[in-house]
Amino acid sequence: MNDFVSVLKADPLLAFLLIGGSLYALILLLMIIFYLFKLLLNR
Amino acid sequence: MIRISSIQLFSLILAFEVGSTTLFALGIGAGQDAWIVVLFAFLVGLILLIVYTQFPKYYPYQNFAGILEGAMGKKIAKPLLFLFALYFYSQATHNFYEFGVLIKMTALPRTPLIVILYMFIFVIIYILCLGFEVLARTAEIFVPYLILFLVATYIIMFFSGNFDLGHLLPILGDGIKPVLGEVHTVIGFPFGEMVVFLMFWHYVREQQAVRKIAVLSVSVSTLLLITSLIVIISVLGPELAAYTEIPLLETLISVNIANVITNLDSISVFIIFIGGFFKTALHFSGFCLAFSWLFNHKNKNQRWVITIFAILLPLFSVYRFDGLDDQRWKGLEGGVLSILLFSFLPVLLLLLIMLKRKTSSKGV
Repeated sequence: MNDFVSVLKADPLLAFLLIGGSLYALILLLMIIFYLFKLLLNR
Repeated sequence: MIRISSIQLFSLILAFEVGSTTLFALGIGAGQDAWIVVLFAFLVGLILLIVYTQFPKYYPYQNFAGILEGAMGKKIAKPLLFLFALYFYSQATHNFYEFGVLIKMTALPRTPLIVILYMFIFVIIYILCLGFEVLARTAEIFVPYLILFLVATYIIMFFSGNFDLGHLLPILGDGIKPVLGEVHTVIGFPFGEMVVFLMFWHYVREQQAVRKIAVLSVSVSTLLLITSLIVIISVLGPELAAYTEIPLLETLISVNIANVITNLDSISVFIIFIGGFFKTALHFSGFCLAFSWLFNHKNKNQRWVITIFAILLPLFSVYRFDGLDDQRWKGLEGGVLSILLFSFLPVLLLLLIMLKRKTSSKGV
């Protein structure tokens, strides 16, 4: 874990990519859940 | 309009996949079972590949920016495209720096690294400015040589006298755990890196053949990778293969057949250069496309994007990495995670597209 934190500190581009990518993964997951609900409710 | 043939796509994927990976002992953390790690990773990689090749089936001849905008709307799609662009640039710096250093180590030890990097990037600028077709045609020309040299090295090493298949035994001697512990690294590198081809599918002339060609090419690459690993471990043994900086080079240097066939490191340098060139060029080209789409640039302006960011690439690479050890540390500790993250984002994207299609077909 310490290694991972130190690599993020040493490489800001990597940190930005990981944080940004994770946020987007979350957004996509939320959108998927939204569409799933839409499908279920309108059966 | 840029169109590439199926053979050109096959060559590009093969050069990209085999590219750098023959130089590293992939999955060597699992010792002599490294080849099993690659086999497992290939199976997961195939699933990823099927996901990636579903996009051209849904949206033939449509570029990735268009697909993203269609699926998520402009406001959400553009930041994601920006992230993809940054990820490709980050990967390009990794490949570019690594190969620059490897060429310095093997062929040009007295030349300053920055000079090597600039010589390298000028070729990339020239080829990319001529268009993606030219890069594809270059791959079509060079890949047969790459395969020929690789197969020749396998055969030469087999007859070198140092070859001992006993190094591969015992198979799964420590159980399956060390193998499973290494799989994620190999899924990311090289199979997850295939995500960059999402940027290029729309260039392929026969859109229906994309999946077939991609699967075939990745399968052939995996075969080459596994053979390469088996040869490296059989010659060096699992311990030495794990600690050597460039295992393929070490194995080639060790070859001495009757004092006639020696000093084969030039073959290794050829493999390094071709592999490094295509990996860097494809990642960089992916970045340029994503960046141009971000600002709705036409092809004319893309040349400026290529030139400006390519000239900055060596400077940024040297600024980002302090040496090969630093680059490999950053690559292994965090780089693989970023590859995994960005290679699995299209899976979510495809799920979203499928759900959207279903809701719209039901008239919801």
